[in-house]
Amino acid sequence: MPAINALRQQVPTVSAGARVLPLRRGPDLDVLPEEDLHAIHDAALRVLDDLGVRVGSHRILDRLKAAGARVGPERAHLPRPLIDEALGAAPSELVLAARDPSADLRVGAGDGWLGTGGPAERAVDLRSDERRASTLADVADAARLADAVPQLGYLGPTVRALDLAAECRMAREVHVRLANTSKHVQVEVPTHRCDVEALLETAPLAAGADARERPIVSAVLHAGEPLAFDGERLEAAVALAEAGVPCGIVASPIAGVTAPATVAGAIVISLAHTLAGLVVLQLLAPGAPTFLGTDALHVPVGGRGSAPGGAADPLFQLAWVQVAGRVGLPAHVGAFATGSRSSDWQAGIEGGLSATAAWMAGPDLLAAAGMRDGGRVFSPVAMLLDTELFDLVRRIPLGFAADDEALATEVIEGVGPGGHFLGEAHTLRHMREAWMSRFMDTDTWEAWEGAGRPQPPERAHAKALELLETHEPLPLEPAAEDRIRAVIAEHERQR
Amino acid sequence: MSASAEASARRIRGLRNPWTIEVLTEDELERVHAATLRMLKGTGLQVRSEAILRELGAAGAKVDEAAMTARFPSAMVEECMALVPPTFLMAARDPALDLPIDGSAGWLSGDGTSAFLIDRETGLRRPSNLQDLTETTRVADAVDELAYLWPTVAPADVPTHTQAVHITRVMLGQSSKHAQHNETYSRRDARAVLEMARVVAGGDRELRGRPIVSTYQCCISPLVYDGGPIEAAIEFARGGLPSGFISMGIGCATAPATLAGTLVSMNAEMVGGMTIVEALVPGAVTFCGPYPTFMDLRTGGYRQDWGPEDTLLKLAFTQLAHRYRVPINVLTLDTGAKTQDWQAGVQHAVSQMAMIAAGRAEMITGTGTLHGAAVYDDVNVILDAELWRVLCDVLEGITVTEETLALDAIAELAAGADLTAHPHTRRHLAELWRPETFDRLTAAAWEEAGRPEPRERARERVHAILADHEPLPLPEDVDRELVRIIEAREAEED
Repeated sequence: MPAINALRQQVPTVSAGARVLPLRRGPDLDVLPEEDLHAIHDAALRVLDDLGVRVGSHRILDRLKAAGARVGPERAHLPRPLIDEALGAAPSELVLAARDPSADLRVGAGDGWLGTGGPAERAVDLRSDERRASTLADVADAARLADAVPQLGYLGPTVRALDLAAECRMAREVHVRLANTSKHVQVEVPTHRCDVEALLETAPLAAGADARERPIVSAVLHAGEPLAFDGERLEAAVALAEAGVPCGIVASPIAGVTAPATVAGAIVISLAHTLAGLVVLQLLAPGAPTFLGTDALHVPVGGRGSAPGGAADPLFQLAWVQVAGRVGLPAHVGAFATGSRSSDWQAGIEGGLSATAAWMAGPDLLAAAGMRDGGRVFSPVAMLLDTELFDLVRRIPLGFAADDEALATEVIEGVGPGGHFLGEAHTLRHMREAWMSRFMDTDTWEAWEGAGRPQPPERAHAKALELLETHEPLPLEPAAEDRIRAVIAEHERQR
Repeated sequence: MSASAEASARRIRGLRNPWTIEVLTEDELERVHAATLRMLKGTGLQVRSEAILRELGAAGAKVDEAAMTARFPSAMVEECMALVPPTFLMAARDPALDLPIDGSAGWLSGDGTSAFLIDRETGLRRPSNLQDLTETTRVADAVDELAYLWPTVAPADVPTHTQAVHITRVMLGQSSKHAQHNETYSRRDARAVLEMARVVAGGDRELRGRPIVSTYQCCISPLVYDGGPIEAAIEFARGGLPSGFISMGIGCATAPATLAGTLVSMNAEMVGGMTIVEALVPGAVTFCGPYPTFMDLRTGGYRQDWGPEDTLLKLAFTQLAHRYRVPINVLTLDTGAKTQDWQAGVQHAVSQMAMIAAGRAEMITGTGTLHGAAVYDDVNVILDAELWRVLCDVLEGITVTEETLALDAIAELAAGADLTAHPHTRRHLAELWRPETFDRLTAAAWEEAGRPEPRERARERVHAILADHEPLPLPEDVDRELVRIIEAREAEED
């Protein structure tokens, strides 16, 4: 493993005022030795061949059969050559484009990008602090906040607009997202064919270019049941991939429920599941840009259902990056996951563990900022705090200068025993290099008590309100806006 | 786990060191070392003790009596650093709690020495006293993850010059764990503490063989050792107790604003301290302890365990200690937060994970404080113990066997079953995680209970410990002797 500072010369610097800030690839810590990595990969291949996956689409089953899979009723057994062929066809890098080209993301090339998580169906209301059903207004607010904060590389699904009828939700959500951020937008793969069509029509209008040329929207296919794909959703993913929309496959294991109660077993089933999705995508849309993803590893906790758990989740994240790297695909991980319902000590601990795993491992896509309660709730305050944590660890793989100016030998000699550095020109030159927190506390005790004992969530809360008040995202072109509205209206008429 | 770490496994769990992430290149490491030698040779240290300066002059240092400085020829520094024993034992009154300092594991210490604590009844900050020192030490004794003690709080209700001996009696009487004493400020303090440690250990030879107390002194950054502390350090080394050197350089204020400059300045201070002790007491057990902070020039406050700089410095200092083959004591779990909030959680997790990344650090300081160690709260000990268990589990890594790959269980999943009641789940689920203070409530129960936080559950545990936990008592005659030494120290005026 090279020293962090040995990588220092190799990375381009980010220009001041950058719209999106990456987590540079760090030391690539290997948590799994090669033989364990091999055993896990091999076990996943055995699962795909021996046990197979359920596929709820006859059309796709027929295609798999023609390609060499052993196919039974609703089930396909995938032999190794099919997997190898899919891995050979999938690109190892992709671009997630943005309406604002300066926010385009190169994925798989060494930089990790933070996105918002979701979709949740509950949001924390910024005004009342109540946990309530999420709305289209929440979708818009989340997009605008993400647009304003450079630590967020892209906008993930955040929340669902439950105030809209299910059949017109997807298209309107996409419209609101595209209108409120000029960063890349990532959505769930929709269930219905007409939602796919609406998406495929609106995204190019906002981008002013074909999806293949400027994929400003990508999609994630969340695995539902273990080793099973809902037919309609899988067909939707294929349709998106065929149209050039980057489409990732993401496993959501719950140890001891939908995955084995061991980290190794949870990786095996997640790898098998995502590789099966990859086979389908690459068979029907060869060369389609994709990534291999997992959410945080959940564990059943007490009476409350599941929550991201203890050491298992950081270990799972470290291992997943290694596993995806071994098969040559970008790694998407569930970062900053916490079972806490608020931004308290527990959320800080779990976020801190996960963030550290991220700088040590170097994932390509980090979802999901803003989630609490194991992904069940989206909170704008939590989102800002998560970006703070991302910003903190982002600096670690950048190392530090150790040249003569930085070593400061002569400065220390000049100050001498018992002196101080406050008046040194060297201090003036370098004092702004230190990382600054937007939300953390360095006050005296008396100042803190005088201010009513504020905690970081309160500062983040004020910042969220301020950004929502002041931040103006790059608007959609008026002509594009009109056409998108027309597409949505037509779409809703047809349904 | 190595054989030596296993010896302490009965109650205390140490951090294994399977990983090492380095930050400095080989070339940079040598440049920091060269700059350190240059500093000690050209500028040297101010050592505010005529007696120690005289001894250092005789040992080969260039002494300027008027300026009270000692300059150290590079050969002298190299020779002295080579004399530092790379391993030692932190013995405990209960031998099952002995800690091998040999690179096999990192041990979590208590934190201190705060002048304030959070009152358990009111939840408000107030000055600490001897009763608080006693109770917080008993809590520290009860929590298995905390491997060795620090003086938790200052007993402000006893005369200042007797605090060191009162602290010694409490640490040795209210706990059977190893005591690291950092509140000794003079040769007299050191002699009294040594006498007490000998009484408890059963004699001078017994104490040298099983040092149940270790000590350290702090440099006054930049580059100054005060007279009393350096004399105490030498007294302890001569008495056979580990005698380490801590630097608390503050970037922008008492150390340069750059990380590399802070590294050089603080390294010169610690290497200088270790050189002094080895020059005067060759082969003495010593160690280094980098406790860097930065000044927030906007507020004049300190930024502790703050951010990326902190992790990078932890990696770099650990690398330096490894280069010198000297044991290292690293400050973690510090926070600017005033309560156990999101900020404290983030800073605790990130700083502890930095030690996982650094590997190789033997002494990991310390749990129990808020607000830059200025305020003590036992709640932290309970919460950090939970974090420590997670860290230990992370370092156990991922076990990959046919059993853990779980193909049989996966076959059940493929057939459409869920694994809740599966034998594989029953065998392994408990290994994954058993949170104590984290939220286990349903959403409705959480709202109904007024949105409780982990610190409230931790507070309940503290009360339970104080109600139930009885530390291994000292024999009565031994304790009487400790009281006699305290009384003798009280009679002295200083």
